[in-house]
Amino acid sequence: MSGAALSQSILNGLALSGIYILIALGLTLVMSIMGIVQVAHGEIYMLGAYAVYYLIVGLGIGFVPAIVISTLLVGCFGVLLERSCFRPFRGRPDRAFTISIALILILQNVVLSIAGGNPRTYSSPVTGVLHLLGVAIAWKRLMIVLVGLSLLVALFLFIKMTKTGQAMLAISQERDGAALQGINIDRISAVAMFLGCGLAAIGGALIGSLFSISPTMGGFALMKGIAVIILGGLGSIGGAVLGGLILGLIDGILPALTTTHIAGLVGFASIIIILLFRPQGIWGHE
Amino acid sequence: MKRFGLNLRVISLFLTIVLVPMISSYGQAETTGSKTLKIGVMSSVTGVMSAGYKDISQSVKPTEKFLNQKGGVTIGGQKYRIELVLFDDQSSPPGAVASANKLVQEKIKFVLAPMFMPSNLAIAPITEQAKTIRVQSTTSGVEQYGPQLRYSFAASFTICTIPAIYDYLTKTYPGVKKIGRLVPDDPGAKRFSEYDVQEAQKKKLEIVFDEPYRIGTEDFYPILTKALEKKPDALDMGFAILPWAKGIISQARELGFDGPIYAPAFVGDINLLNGMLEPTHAHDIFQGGPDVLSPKMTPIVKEFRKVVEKELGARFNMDHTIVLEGVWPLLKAIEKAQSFDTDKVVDTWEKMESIESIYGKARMGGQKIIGINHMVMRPALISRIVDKNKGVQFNYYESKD
Repeated sequence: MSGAALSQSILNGLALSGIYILIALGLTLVMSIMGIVQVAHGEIYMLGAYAVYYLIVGLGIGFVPAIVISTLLVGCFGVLLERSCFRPFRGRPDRAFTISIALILILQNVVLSIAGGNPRTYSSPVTGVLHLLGVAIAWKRLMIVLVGLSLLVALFLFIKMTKTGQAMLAISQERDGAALQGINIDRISAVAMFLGCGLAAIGGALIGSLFSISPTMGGFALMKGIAVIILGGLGSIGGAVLGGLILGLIDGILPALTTTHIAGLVGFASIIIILLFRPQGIWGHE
Repeated sequence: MKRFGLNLRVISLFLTIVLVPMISSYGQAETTGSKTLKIGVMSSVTGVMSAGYKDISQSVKPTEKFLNQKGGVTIGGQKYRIELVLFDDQSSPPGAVASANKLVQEKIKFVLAPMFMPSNLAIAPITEQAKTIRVQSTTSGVEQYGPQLRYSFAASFTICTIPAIYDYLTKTYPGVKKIGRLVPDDPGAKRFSEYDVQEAQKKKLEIVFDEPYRIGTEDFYPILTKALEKKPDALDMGFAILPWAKGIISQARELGFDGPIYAPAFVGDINLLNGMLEPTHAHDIFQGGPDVLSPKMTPIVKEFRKVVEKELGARFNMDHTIVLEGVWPLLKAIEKAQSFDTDKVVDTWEKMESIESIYGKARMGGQKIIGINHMVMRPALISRIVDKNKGVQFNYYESKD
């Protein structure tokens, strides 16, 4: 493999890392605060993409306002889900898990009946390709990485600097203790769900502009999101970053050196190895 | 109160004993009275593939309406209306087997088989034993046919389009000498891939890159980086489906590849693909499939388009034609045999030197490829996105087996 191709592969891997981190952020947030594996997170991501599609194509709204509206709408939908589907089963993760599986089927079929099964696309206003030292990358990919990093910093600051963020941290560490300290678990769970679903919507909207959107696109997001947070550490933002970086580089570089099959194998094998030797993930805590 | 409950039970029992047989016999009387030929259509109405096959499922009723508008089928001077009965294969071989058993129990002797090869293979023993004729609308899987599968037919075989695709490639782009192949890793396409490579080599084209990608791939940057390092003049997408084709084309263009990108089989509706691509990416793309909106379309497809658009209120696309493409030649064979006896239909169909397909005149072939003449050799169809503004070019070519 030539130096240019290797550089291109590393760049591909870094861009993929940005995408994976963006997908995993919302999932890890919901998981750490609510204590559930929200497997319908991929469908929330899909809803964000479809909302943007209809806002752009149906109503002629610009790309950025469409993403803002979609994020708010999907975030509010997340609050509705938390209130109606997850709150009644708090402390019973098995039931919440079953409900989120049902949500996958319901949301997929609702979108299928409204939008149909054909894949759809919408264009990002960011066009063109960056050519640098023999490597090329579309600006819209770089934009996703930058947005992902910005959201990561924003989320980090939100958790560190705000009272609500600190309350989230407290709940993720010790729910009962946090409640005894007067933290309103219901309110914080709703905020976490709003943020988690909003982040998923942004991810779906941006990544949808890169590939194509379909009612089943959430499967990709869920698979990668779960892999990233298992690798990095359940419920840890730092873990999501580390996991995303590792998995992105594996998926970006290994197919160029070997085959896409081996890359997939190594990606998931590394998760099994991590689970065997460090079940809490690289960055996670017991 | 107790007396009232007892009365209710008596009435319910009466209704069950009297009305149920009445209802079921009414159904039979209607079927035999109006002379109906039932044809099963097996598709994925639920499950993971249902989204991609939604237009196929939705087209069943418009297809039935169209076939009856065209007169149904006439046997011994008696006209039979066509009833298409949709069976859900649940996107899986076990689901397909359950539906095939139901189909056999309902004594339906003709079925449009699932597009998904594992499901089609799974139902083969059931339909073969029941002597049910099983037609696939379009297929790449040679493994699903052969002398041992007497009741299996294909209304079109993508393999037979491959020679026309390479004629087209070398004539339209004489500068192309090196091919990069990126094909989905589908075990059902092994023979298809072998044919593809053979035809490319017959045209003295060098395959400089040939690697499968995992089904479901969204990001093609890694594999394209590797492929483009070999400096191909053209990229072969195999039989990708629309999202993969869009991904390969867009991402190859982003990485600086400006040459032709083609699919020897069809990747989906060419107009949908064109609509999915950015203007700067939509050029020099062609596939072995129809442009169903082309003014060059056959009168059958043009007429059918009107029915679909009226019935569904949706834009007509290639997937809407799948059911019709499979059922049309089947009805021609039944009419030629002048019988619903599936053995007589098979014997007649495989000997038909000329048969009408929805894309024009065809013949029966397949002896060389599958050892039995169970393939409808319709014209090869090639559609090409010239550029976003000029739209799609379409034409008919000779198919070869």
